[in-house]
Amino acid sequence: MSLLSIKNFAVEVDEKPILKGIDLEIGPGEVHAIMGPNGSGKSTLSYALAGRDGYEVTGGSVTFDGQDLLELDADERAREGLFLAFQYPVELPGVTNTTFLKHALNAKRKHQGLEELDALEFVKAVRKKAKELNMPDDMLKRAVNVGFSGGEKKRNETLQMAVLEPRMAILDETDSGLDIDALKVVSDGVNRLRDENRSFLVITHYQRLLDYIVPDHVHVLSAGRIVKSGDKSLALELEKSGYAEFVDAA
Amino acid sequence: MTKEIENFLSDLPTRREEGWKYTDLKAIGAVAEGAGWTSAPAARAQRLSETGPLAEIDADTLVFVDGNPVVSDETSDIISVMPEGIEIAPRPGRPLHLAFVSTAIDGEAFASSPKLSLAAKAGQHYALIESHTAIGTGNTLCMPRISIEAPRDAVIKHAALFDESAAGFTLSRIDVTLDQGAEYDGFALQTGLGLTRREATVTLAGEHGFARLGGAYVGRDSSHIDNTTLVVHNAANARSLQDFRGVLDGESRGVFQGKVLVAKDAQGTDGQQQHKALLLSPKAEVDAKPELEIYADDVQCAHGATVGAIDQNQLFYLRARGIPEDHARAMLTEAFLMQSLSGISDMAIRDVFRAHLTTRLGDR
Repeated sequence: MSLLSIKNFAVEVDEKPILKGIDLEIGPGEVHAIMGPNGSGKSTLSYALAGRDGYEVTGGSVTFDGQDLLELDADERAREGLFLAFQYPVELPGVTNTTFLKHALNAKRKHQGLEELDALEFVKAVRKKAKELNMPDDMLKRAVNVGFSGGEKKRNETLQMAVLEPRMAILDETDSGLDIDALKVVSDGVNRLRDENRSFLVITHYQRLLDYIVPDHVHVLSAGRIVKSGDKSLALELEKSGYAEFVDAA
Repeated sequence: MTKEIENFLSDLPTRREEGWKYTDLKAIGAVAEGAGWTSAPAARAQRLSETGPLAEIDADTLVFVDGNPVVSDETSDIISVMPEGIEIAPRPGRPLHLAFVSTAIDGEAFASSPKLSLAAKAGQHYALIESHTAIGTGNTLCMPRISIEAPRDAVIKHAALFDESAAGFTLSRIDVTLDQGAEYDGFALQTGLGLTRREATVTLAGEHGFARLGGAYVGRDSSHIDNTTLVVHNAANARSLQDFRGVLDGESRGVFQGKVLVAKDAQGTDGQQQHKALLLSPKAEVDAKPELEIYADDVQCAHGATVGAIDQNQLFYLRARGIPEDHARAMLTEAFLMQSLSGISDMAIRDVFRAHLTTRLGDR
């Protein structure tokens, strides 16, 4: 059975149809990539799945582990194990990384009926994960994303993902604004989290990221529809021929 | 009642006056016409010790109960009660807590106008704590006036907490004069339920003086919080910094009137002023009037005032990490105010203020 099942999904933003019937089945442990030109609806898909206000679902259905995802608020979706790594991570002045992570993790643990972690256990666990991402302890004490470089912000998203251990992660243009070294660190962080139960939806404009996070399936999104699906070789094809054929077709 | 209060009550400022445009004192007049304002009986002064969260800071404590000073053994050698006011010679290095407590119970209406002058010594460091708290729920009108003279190279740190009851009116004035190289570093936390107006005037009278006026406030229910500041640069190469932040919920109202005045001879002045407000309710209101009046040529002055609601991007980011909406809003609100506390250098006071803010934000 699919972990995430998207059927004929249609979404409007400001009364403008952006997604016009998306069908996508993602099984446990699978990595799917969605590639597409600017304006094809990639970010709309990630925000709509995460439950952001202003993304109005006008048709279709989305089930997450058999549950109607669209019935849930954004924070409920996250507590159920859906994670969106932001293309533009948000700065939170006055909220330290540690505080942020602790509140997020404890919200999830509470939802799962688990005890909240005590401060010491928590800090130990987070430090270990930060180290794997080459993040100095100092970054945990700083305000979330404030004054972080592009690479640091994306590493921070990956750290949040590692701490929250989602069942399904959506990576929205995680490669944007990253140099090759940062891309490697972030990709390694993502690959460490791959296992037979956890699934990924990797949204990207460029094939480059998929050299590091190798997908099982690749889909091309154009003008709000998936116009072609294939295996990882489709990404290489696109790298050579570009999106022109699909833009014209749509 | 003092002559000063009688005069004030007989001719209350109205909103037609420029400085009182946003703060309406009609409710004070209504009490005067009803049961009427009186002075608290002096005997009352002996019965309490409750001075709010700042009581945990180790300090010489001078308590004013409904305006009447309670002189203890601890404070008898640093204060002299004179007909024209109370003169205080604080001990350098030893915090002094001026604790104003109102005890009026329902049906009572106590008015007072304690007048304090503090004399610092050149080159010495002082820590001043001021608190305004209420035990009773009756009407109180407290009009404290504090004046501080800081001679050459004196350093004064001042932390004030205003946490009155819904029936409390506090119209406080503080006037600080800084001589050459002297420093005044003040922070006021305002969380009361009544009407609080704080007028702070700092005059930089000598070169290389430094003044900081910091503040954070929480407006809730129908509270009214007014900060009216005037920083006068009369000497060259002095620096001033004003940084106020407020959160307004319910039907509360915030007022910020801040003025920086730079005299002709005050070349090399650096004067910064900022006020930021966060509105949490459609019925809350804030009025900000920043002003710069500059007569010197070579100055660096800037002011900024912003008013906004909770940032939707930030809110979504927290929710996307599983934090429930109410909780996320509370986190962002607290973070907004806590940033201003970083200006308080005394860690113990900062911790008390932080805990108090968390409590009051939870009370909304």
